[in-house]
Amino acid sequence: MSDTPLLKVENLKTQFFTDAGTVRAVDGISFTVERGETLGLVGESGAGKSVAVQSILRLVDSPGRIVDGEITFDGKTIVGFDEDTDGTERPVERDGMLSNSEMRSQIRGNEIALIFQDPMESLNPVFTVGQQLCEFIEINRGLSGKAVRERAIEILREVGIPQPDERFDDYPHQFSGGMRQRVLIAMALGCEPKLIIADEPTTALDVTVEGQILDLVYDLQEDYDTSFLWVTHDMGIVAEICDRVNVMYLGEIIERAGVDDLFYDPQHPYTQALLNSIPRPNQAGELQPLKGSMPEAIDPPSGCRFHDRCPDAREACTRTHPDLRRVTDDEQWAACIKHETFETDYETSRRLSPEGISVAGENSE
Amino acid sequence: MSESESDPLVRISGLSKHFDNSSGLFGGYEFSPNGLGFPFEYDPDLVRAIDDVSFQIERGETLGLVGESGCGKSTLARVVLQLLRPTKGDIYFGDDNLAELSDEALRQRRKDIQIIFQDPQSSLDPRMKVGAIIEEPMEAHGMYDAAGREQRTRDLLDSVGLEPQYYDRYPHEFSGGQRQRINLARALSVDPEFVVLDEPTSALDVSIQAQILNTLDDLQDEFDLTYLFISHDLSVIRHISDRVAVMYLGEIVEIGDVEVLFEDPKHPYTRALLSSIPVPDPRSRGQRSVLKGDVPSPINPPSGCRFRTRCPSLIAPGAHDLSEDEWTRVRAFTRAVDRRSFDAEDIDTVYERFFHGPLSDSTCNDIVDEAIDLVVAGRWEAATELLDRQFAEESPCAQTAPLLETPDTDDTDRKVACHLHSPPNQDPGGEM
Repeated sequence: MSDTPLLKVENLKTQFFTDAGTVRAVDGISFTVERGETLGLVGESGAGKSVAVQSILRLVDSPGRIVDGEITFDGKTIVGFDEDTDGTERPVERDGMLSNSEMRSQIRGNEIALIFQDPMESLNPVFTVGQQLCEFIEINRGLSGKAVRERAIEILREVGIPQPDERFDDYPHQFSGGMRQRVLIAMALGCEPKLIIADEPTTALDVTVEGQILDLVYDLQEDYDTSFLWVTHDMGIVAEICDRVNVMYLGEIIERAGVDDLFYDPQHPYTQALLNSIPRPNQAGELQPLKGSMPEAIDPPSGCRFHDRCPDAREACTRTHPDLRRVTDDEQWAACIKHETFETDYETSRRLSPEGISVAGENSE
Repeated sequence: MSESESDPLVRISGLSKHFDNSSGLFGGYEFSPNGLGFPFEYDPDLVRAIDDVSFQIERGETLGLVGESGCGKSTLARVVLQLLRPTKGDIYFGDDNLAELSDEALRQRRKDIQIIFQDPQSSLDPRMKVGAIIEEPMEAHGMYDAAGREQRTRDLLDSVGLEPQYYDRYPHEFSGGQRQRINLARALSVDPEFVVLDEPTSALDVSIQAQILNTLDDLQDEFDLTYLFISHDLSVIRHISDRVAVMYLGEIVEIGDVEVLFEDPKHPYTRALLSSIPVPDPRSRGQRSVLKGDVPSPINPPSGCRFRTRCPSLIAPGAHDLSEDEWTRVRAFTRAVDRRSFDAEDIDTVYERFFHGPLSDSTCNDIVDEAIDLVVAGRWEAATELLDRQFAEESPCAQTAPLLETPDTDDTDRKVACHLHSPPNQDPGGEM
């Protein structure tokens, strides 16, 4: 049992059906979260990170829909489809896929908890922090009465809220941003889930508070042995806490590697460019920004989706759409045809002129 | 780095901005029956957003201003620009004191001082075309004729890295990074000498941020600009600044050349900030140290050094004779009591938890014993108060506010406000 991954996502496709056309926000991504590990999901805004997270919890709103793929969590099928036999546009849900009410009662909160970026929006301003925390524990842990309050205060203390027995009766607006985020972490932990999905939880916080939260998560992971799926655009955080990393670009995973390999031996030009473009606290000097900006997912470039910004792009890249393949002897996976495993005509193909793309202009329109 | 004896472009001295936080007609009045007379006293809650800040910016340099949210960075920017009038202090821009200029004279002067805000979206009118947006400041200051303005606008669009034909487009047609470029073009249209950048890249993706930072660098050379660059992101600050000022709770705690400050930070707050950034390198994992606690409220800032409540290097009170290790333990205990972060069952377990053996100073030992008694009896507040009065308040850091001074005579550009780095031959907090 414990050898199987905790969460398995296979070929997940989530699309948004808008008037302007179909937005392929998540386009066939596959990954696993192992028990007790922290997996990073990295990318710029618009890469499809948040939609991927929403899909895992089946929280995708209309006009968005999961159109294909399979998600299994701890032996349960969250998303699964049968062969399309009735010829309609909607895929057929497989038997054994959890119903909406089962998702609510068994998965969300209970097995998979979610921590959002903005702690103020995730807390209800008209209830006290204690009430909200208790409600959560009551529903998901089956405690009642005094035991709930005791457990709630215990968790608040664990996540480092000062004077938890008094702060219990405070309203969210009486907490600072960092404290609110701690409360959300407390809520997530209160249910002792197997997996916590953190969607940019420290982006709105100061560095000093961010450091506190990262330390807290680190300690709590030791105590509870929870798995984390950490969604972020901040390479600093990735380096600090993740074990393995998936890099997303325009709805696809374009590189997957252990954290050390990713930073010291990146296999995809996008990862390399991303690492070159970040200002680092321990060194000064000219930045090498990535050219242009990410295209719209409504009309992705042909071939490799990164070819129009890629420094290594060749003519073959405009034709061949690479899938994610293992490219080294270590667990390094990349979707780039410059690697030999792809057996394409990349080596002999003509280089795309880098001057074709203006350096400063983000002429995406 | 600096030609400090030459004349700086911006010189700020003794600048303060306080906000009255009491609301309502009688909001600031408090009931205080003192026998005779009117039994109410006017005592408004003042938010000391900026307190006695002085620094200068040389021509052509970039001064980075860094600090946590709520420390007064943005208020400082707004006061420097006179969008908010200061409570006290002077802002010299060239030869004029902006704080004393009349409204019309100030309006004329605004041409030379521009600002870029954090959110590129909300600072552009969605109903105006890009051309009109960029021309508006020139019109307000009566620069050029219509054709001249259009030509200049097209040139500016080119300088900031956009296409001149974007002149007829609306802001919503652009991405975040492009919008920030439009803001830049608008700011530069009136040919300013000084631009305040208030977190200009924090709403942008990293790859776009790098593009904008490089453009800012190029524009500085092209237009001879002087920047005040405000950010909470130390990596960005290091990248763009020539000198850096670190702010904490309305005061500047350290200022100096960027390389010197990042390589050899003197103030404990600067050190804590620098070591708390997650470095994008998995091999330096776990080398962070974390500053505990939150920024205190600027309504009632701590006495003496404002950073003392979070300072890892708080100076031990001279009255007690404690070793360094013991002092650390006492402070950990004080902190735990204040936050009530443990269960107090009986005296021995609490003592064991925080102290390995009796303290070498018997007075301190008695105080600690008394505090533990109080804690076990459930009187946390009394214990906190006792520990604060006996230890924290006795520290030299709590008694006098450190001045922003040069710690060693070799580098006169460097200033630190910390008792640990008071210049030699002076008592902590002594006469300047």
